[in-house]
Amino acid sequence: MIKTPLKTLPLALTLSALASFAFADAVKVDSKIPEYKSVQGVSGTIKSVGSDTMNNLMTLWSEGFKKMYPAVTTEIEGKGSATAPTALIAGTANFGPMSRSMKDKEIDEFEKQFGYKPTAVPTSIDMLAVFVHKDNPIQGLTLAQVDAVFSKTRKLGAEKDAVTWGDLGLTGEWSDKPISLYGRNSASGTYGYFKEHAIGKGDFKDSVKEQPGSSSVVQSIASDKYAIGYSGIGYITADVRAVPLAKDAKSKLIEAVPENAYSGQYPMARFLYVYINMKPGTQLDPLRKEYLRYILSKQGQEDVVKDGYFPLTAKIVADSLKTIGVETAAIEAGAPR
Amino acid sequence: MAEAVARVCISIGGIGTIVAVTAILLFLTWVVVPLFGSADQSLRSQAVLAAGERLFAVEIDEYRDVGFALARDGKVSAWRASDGRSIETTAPIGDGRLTGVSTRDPAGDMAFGFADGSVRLGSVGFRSTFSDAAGDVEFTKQLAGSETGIVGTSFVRRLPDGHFRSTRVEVALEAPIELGLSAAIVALDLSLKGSERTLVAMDELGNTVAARISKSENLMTGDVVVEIEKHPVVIRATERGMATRLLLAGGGNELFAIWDDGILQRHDLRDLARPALCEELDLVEGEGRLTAITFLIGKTTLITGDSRGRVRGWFGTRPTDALTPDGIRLERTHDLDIGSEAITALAASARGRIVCAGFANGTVKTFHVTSHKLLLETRAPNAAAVVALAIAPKEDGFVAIAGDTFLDWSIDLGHPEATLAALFTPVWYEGYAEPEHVWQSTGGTDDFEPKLGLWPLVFGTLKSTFYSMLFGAPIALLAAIFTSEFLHKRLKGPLKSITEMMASLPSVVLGFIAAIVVAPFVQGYVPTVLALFVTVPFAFLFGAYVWQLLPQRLVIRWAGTQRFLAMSACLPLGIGLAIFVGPLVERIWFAGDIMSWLSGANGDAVGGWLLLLLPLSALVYALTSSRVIAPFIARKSANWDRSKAARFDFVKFGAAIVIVFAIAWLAAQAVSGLGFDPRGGPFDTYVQRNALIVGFVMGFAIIPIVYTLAEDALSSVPSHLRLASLGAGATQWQTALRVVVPTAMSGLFSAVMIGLGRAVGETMIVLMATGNTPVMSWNVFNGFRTLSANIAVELPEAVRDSTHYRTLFLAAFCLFALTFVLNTIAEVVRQRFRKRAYQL
Repeated sequence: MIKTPLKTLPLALTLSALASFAFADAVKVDSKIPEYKSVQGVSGTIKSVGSDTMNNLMTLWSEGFKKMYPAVTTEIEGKGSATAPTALIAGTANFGPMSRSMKDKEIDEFEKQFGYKPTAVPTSIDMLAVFVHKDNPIQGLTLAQVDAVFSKTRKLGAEKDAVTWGDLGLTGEWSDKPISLYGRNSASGTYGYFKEHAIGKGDFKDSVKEQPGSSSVVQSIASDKYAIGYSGIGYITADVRAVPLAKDAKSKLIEAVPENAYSGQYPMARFLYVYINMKPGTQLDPLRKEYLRYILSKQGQEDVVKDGYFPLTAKIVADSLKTIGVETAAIEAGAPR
Repeated sequence: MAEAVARVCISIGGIGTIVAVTAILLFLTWVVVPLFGSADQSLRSQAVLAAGERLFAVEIDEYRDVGFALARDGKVSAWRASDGRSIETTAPIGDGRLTGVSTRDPAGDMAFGFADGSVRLGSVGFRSTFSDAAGDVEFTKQLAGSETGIVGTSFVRRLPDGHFRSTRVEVALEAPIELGLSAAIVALDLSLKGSERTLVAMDELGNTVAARISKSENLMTGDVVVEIEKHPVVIRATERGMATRLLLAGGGNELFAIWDDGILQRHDLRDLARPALCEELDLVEGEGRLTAITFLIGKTTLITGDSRGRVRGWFGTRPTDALTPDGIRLERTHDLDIGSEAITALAASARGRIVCAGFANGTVKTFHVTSHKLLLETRAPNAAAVVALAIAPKEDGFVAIAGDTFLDWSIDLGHPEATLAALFTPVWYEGYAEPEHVWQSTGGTDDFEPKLGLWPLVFGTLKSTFYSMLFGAPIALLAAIFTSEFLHKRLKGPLKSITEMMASLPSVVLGFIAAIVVAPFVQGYVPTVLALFVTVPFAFLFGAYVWQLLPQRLVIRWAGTQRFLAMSACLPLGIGLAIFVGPLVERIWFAGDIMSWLSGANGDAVGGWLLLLLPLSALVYALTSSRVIAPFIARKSANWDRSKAARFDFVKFGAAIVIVFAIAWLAAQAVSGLGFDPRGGPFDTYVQRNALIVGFVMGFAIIPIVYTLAEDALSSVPSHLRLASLGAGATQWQTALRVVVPTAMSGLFSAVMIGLGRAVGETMIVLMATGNTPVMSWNVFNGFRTLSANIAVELPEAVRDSTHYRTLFLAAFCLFALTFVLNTIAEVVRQRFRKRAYQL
């Protein structure tokens, strides 16, 4: 059985928890990201179909965008990342938010229709967190333990299945309590990302209760004391707690706090993308171009912070803008606030 | 006149219904049928090449325009796929000193080993670019009107929109990695997992080194940290000599050292500093030599081909009796082919679980590994041995080099994952200890093996229906009998409308309430809720016997509202009793904690059996009592007065309770003494969203319908039957049970069947109130995934016309078939009952 290495590191953890707390308050948008200034001639409908994780985010961006362009209307649907490629291919959406990158098969389908590949624009950073009920005393989990909890194939090498909280090292009242599992439905990018990174591309146990949205995962954990589940960090509430994760039994536990996402230490930090249908060698239409520019501006990134996710750095913003064919000189010259 | 119009209208309506249902059935069939279609292939082109016969690999680009081959001397030759015309490439890799290469990742990454013992990472792959306006002008001039052409080192194709796509072969090499080997590298492999690369190399002296190179980037600072960890691995050279192949599996966590006679040693590399030999097995098993080997996508399943023509698949499983240090045992799980010719080449797809095998006589066979299906078989026209094989990245073709000829086939695989066997019988999926029924249709990556076993969904539908009907049908039917036969006329109207109003509750609201309110509540009071199933019926019976004790004149005067109110008081009594009894029962029979009792941690099986056997023992008692005891007492009590009979009845009821419990307890002791345990059957680990909750909430959906229809059926029994029965001296109860119910049986039956139909197709309640867990157990305390909920959950993500999409339609078809069969049976039975009723 793999024991949590935590007992040997109480001091280190306390320190890092304190440090991270201070940092969490200080999530600020990179001052080198320019402010958005509205332009002429933008109208039309923003039709977004895709990630549920990014649903609130898309709504915030759209609201901000509509304040500048009252003529723009919006339709946002968030049933899961897997619905984005289908909608982009069918032409029922002009933006496809996805919380994972597209699979090659999805790209094939897109290319079959249009003759070129879809374009991915990273918009923000999320940490996929493992949540437990707020009263749960567990201090941390290794990825192999997470795998043993959620997966029946245990590809990360845990030798024993974890069925009760006792299997994860909890004692007393918790030791014989079965772990109640919550997860997302398979359309979700979070489901796919978790499958790839937390359970080593293995199979989920049949007993993982699939919830149609991230908020209902969190809500279910809040009402089920012995529950564990996963979703994007943006959906955290006071009733649940994000469990610190360690890569393996030797490495230390990493809190789900922004500094660890940026440093690349947290094992499940990921980009949230917006996919668009952009023909190579052409310019985007004003609506899509301005909307993406808004997302990648100071205001757009402040919305990201507001929704509980983490903003991009100026360098990634510059790269993102370049992929959609926006001149980046202005950004590099952008004066700090 | 009016009659004629009505007849026409009704006929049109009826025919319209039949047409509509048939059309739905046809549409479903039309979508489902291609699922079982066969694959196609055609030879697109062939050309004689000068690539040589000693090749490491052949590849074709994703647009199937350009092919390349990597020869053993390091030469990379590229050609146009349509006619084999050579395209210029870079100088040979390593200037003739190349001695070994790793397997090539689909993105092109590979490792190269050289004669001096050095190893370099790099890539050989295709690069496609789309032209902009300036490029368009340039290429138009270069191609001089033709659609395709070779410009410099690139192949250029004009696209339908006027732009151009150019494809060329690119070779890139990184700086050598210092592994400390000094003799020529003879075997090496590279594995990529995210930003982590694992490399293993063996030189001709048999020294082997494994290295792990991890790269992490800080997004804030942009710092890139590269760490290299390297350790020697001991691969024992046996009397057979040195291993000839090294393969890294499982994202670099396992090393397979393979000898030509088929011996495989599996080393655990999770902790690179302490590599451990885990097991050794024979991939050929007997005579013969291992001639080709490849990994399926995901690098977990190994496909082997030998000189005896056998193509077989192997992967690591975790059987409980594994003797290896890491608990994993490599097992032969797929026998794809038993041929006579030797296998000379194998190739796996980069998109799915397709593998191609090339034979010494030029035959090429294509298999789908999960379903073991031979999809295609063809033969090179020159009948020369297949030297190298590759499947096109998009699975729309494969290429082979047979002798000196390059061959390019176009293929259309159809839906190889979905065979009837794969859908309805247990399938041995990668990593599983044995073949199983599994539904897990999608993953986040391409190497996910879709698991499309429909049984768990059919099972879920049946389970949901069973528990819902178990709860809903008796209540609805008894309520209907009570309303029509015993309830005061004045109360009947309002009561019936109130119940019917229940039916108007939208099922999504019910599901929502079940998930958010009922499920967490029930979880907190499981013993009490279980006790309710006993105490509430008890309270009503108790009330009935007490009512009998009242003086006759009061009973007659209070037959209306008062009696109804008294009855209503029984419900709180039952609930109160349950609140009192529940914790008591938990302490006595469920080891003080029903949750851990259910998960099998402690306590014996008696309590569970007691609970299960109570209804049965009550039934046994009731039958015996009515057959044996009742006639006896009837004779005895013929001349007792009413109050004496009532008192006697009350005592008898008390005795009955004791007897019923005694029978149940004895039976429970006996059954658990025999070693049977309800845990694992109808009871098991408690899960918050479970069949009990669904049964309870679905009751709200089913009860009103069944109740209304059943009540109508009972009420429409001609009153002369009832009056005749009462007039002949039968009691109200006897009349209801022996006369009215049998007469109305056809109506009652169709009421139940309509309820059943509703339960089978119900989507929103099960979607929200269960976790949609595709488990196959009858445990009332865990969830399930029904066909209907599954369609609702997964259809939005399914790509149109994909295997997944069509399988969901097949699920719909199954649902349709299920309801169709149920309704047909119901109709046949109903007709029979009806005939009998008419004979009365």
